[in-house]
Amino acid sequence: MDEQLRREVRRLRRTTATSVVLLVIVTTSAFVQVRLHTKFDEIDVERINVREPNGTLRLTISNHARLPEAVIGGKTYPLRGGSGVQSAGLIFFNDEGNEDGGLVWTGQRTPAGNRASANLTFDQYDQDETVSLGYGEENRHRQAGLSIIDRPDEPIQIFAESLMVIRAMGEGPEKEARMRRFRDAMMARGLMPADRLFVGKQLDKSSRVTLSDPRGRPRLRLTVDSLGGARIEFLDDAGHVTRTLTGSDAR
Amino acid sequence: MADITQHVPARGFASRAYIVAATLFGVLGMAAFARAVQKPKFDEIDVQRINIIAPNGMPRLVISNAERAPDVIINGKTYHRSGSNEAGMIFYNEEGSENGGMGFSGHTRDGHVTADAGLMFDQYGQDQTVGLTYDEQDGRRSAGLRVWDRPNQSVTVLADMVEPLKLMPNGPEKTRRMAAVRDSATRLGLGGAQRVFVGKQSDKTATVILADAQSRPRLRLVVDSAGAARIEFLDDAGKVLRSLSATP
Repeated sequence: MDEQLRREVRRLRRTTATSVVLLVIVTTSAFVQVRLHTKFDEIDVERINVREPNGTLRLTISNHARLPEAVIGGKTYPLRGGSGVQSAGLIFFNDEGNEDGGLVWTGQRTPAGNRASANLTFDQYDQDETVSLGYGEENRHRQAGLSIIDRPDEPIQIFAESLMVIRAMGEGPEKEARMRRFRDAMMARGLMPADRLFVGKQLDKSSRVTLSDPRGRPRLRLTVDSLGGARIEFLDDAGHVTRTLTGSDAR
Repeated sequence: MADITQHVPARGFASRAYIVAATLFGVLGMAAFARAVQKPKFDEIDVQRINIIAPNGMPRLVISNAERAPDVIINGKTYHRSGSNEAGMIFYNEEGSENGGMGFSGHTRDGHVTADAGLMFDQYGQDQTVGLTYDEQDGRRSAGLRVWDRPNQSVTVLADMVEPLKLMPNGPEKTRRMAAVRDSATRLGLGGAQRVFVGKQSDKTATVILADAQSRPRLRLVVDSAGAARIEFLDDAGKVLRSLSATP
């Protein structure tokens, strides 16, 4: 009886030891396996984060619900929400982990018609988009094309901080006045963006090439309007057309 | 029983070690599993297709090889793509309808090179309205930015006309009926018009073309393959009305 019990205990001990060893192997391999090169036929996922070895985020690919908020100067600014636009897509981040562009799209029916847009944008360092390929539509009013934009030398953080404060205010005339004052102050300090180039079609159904000065004022414009009329226009800094070239030799 | 206890002095320590180890690794095992389920981490993955899906399961993006690239899905209905499915990305709007994509391909077959790449954004409920494209056929290359007008009607009106023809075997009958459908689509204004091209064309010109709502170039900037530069105004029949160059 004693001998039988002893054998039983020994066997139990061996079994336990073996299972502990197996457990260690299985657990370790669970950690090791997910770190290695992994192969799938197809996966469903809501978000993919591409990171540097040190963990710095370089790219997210996601649906709208998991689209990251803007990361500026290492700080996250929840500025995306509120507009009702439900973009999904790719967000790019620079070596410092700050957002520096994206490829996003959205489109849906609305009570008034529809709203849709799609954009590939590259941001100026520590600023907003400097080159953008895009399409935008609201209730059949459409524009699409390539835009090049000058951005101020100041980092975008100051805009984001002010916007956060204004956003937090209650809706009403006071908020609107504050927003206007903010824009005016930025304009006075020369901190507003300036469109430098647009190539595409505009809301008035013209196809167009517009080259603008550093203050965003169109100075040379090539147009084919909705009726097919073609012209090249030179403009002064007040927006007056100073010379027009058309298909007829006159002027 | 008491006898056994005396003969197995190490039991207490060993058992405790086993219990601790087993518990520890059990917990670790569950942690590893939970991590793998919730937010797994990989150094690198090989995959034929990735679906980025909304919380409700609706697709917002498919990244795939050509083999698994999805056919066109609009308003829940599937259509064959004009041309073939390519490797790349297909975008979907909130309603699960395709609204753009980025595709690329290139191969030499029987000594002939065919290659293309494009990033396209579609007008809502319609086909591409702006895109960056590259196309090559045996050394004849074009590349640039394009902007299109698309009609207000849904692209499904045209797609429903073309879809049955796509299933026909290739041959003169298919070609004839395809051309007939294209003609009636043009008459009904279902096709759209290219309004802008900025880039290089297969005749080796660098050019900016602004076209009217019927796709007819009306204003054109050209530097041709020999380096000659000119600006041209054209009428609706394609005749050059006026040409500006360095020598007046």
